Amino acid sequence: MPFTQPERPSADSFDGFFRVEYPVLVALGVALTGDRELARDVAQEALLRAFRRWDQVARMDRPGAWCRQVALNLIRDRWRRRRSEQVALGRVQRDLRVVPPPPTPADEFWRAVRELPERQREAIALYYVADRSVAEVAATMATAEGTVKGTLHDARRALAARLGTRAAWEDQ
Amino acid sequence: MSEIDRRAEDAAAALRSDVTPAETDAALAAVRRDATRPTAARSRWSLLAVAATAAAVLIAGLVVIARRDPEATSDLPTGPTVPPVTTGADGTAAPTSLAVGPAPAATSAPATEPETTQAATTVPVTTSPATTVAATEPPVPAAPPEIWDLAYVGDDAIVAIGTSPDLPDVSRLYRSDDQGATWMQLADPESGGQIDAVFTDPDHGYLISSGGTGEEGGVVYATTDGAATWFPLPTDEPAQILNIGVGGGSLHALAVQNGELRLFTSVIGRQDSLSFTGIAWPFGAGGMPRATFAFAGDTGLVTVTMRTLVGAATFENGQWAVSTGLDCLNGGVDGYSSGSEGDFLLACRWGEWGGDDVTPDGTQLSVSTDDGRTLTPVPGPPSAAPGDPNFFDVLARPAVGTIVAGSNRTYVTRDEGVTWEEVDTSPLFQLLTAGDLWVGVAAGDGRPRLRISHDAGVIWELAG
Repeated sequence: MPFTQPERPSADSFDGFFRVEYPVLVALGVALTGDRELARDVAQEALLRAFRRWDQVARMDRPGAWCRQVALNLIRDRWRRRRSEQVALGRVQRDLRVVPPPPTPADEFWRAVRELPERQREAIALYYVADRSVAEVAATMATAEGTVKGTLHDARRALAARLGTRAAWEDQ
Repeated sequence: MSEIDRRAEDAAAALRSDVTPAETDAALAAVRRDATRPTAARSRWSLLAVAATAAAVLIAGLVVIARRDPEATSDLPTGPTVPPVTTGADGTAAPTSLAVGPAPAATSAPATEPETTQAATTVPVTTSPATTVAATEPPVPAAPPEIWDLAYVGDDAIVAIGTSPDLPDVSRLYRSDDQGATWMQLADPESGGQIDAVFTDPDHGYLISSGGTGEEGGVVYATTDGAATWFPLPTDEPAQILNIGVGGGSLHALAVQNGELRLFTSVIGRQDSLSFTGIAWPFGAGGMPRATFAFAGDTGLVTVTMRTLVGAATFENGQWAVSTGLDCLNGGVDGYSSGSEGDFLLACRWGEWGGDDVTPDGTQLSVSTDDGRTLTPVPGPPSAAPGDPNFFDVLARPAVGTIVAGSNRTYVTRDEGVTWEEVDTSPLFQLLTAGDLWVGVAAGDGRPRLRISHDAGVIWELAG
């Protein structure tokens, strides 16, 4: 550039935005994928994209919702690739005796969430992890609030069935 | 609270608590480091462009430009005059009209109503051959994965800034001649880094380019041949241009210069350099500054916002003057629409904006009938009341209606605000119209894409 700017006007506002959104995006990624490294990658990628066009993102009504939309798209893409890789890997390693650490109640819950249909698990993760209102979830998922309410209702009912069945099985 | 609710909230809290402040700080540092990496190799043409810009600035510094005297053009170095640029009176892609006022009568305006056009303004453009640079690359067929900014919308073409198919963080200039079905990636003066663009027709346009440095501002280039060649527009001192607008026969810009936000403009009819108007606002912390230019006929206004309204100025008789009437309470101004009779329709936000943790209190539609000096509220959709989070974001001014787009909902009115119809579309954040063609950008799925409406904004279809 032939000219120099004395300071980046967006730096301070972006830092604060990053510190609020990064933990949420990582938690969202872990909830949806169960893969912490993948979640960190996605969170950083989404926020990097926001930083590079911060003048546009910052003017949006909900910059955080934009980042979560980007993160969801990245998760969908990468999770599908990762699942394909895992299926292939599983065929090779099916006989390996790997003892995983005992799951926590949170692990159990998110594992059940990840068994839900895509829209249901995204709605649950956005609603509880991102701690957003139905309106915020609807904005992020680009759908109507009524649709989100219905999706959340169906997801909760499915989760109750899954977790209840699992709890009953564990009690035996 | 149900058992599922309790378990979900406990599980969500466990996930959030796993991310420590130290991890967040490390991630922030990594993002900043990655963001400073060059996103595209700069070509030799971009280096020539920078050199040409520096030369142009030097030349401009030797020339005293009596910018405020429109008659004093004889002092300027002149180049060959190219075919005139004909712009709509409001500086947008196509002239439109809709009478707006504080107490409109309920009228019915069918979508087929003939368009009332405004008087066009003919703007001759002169080039300076010594600073003309060839574009970096020839046009190639390529569709932008994301659309960031609409530069021109007309029946003959759509010009937009979008992301590069192979480099998703690099912005390029695109043109579609079939309403977004197919695209050509146009040549640009530097390889990527296009920030803002305004075209008055498919051949004549202005572009801010950062040269792919990731800076928030850059240099303004102009083209008169559909982006085949570009020439940089010098400023009287080095300045970082943030936004540009065309209207009233001149090119206008908001720039960072000497630590201030400064308003620049060109001599009327000679859009080959930019000079400081003498109007400046403090450049403090709190968000990215943004200028919204609006023109109706030969008058215009600009509002400069960061988190709140920084300042405003009106353009009349070829000169800018500071305006103090556009306070919009404590909020900023976003979106505009130029009226057929010199009125301006604006969406004034109440409260701060710019961060996800800050929710504006609402938006008030207002109209100015005195060239932007004062505002009068006008009817808006029912949910536009203060306190409603579904505030407006964009306004367009077609011949048959006004559309307002919010964070969640979009509304259109065909009777000057008496009744409103909710539109089913993803949230739109930019709109331009040209006759019956309405073009918007929506980011409903996280990827801003072009949406087209042929029924005055009711049905929006994904282009391409």
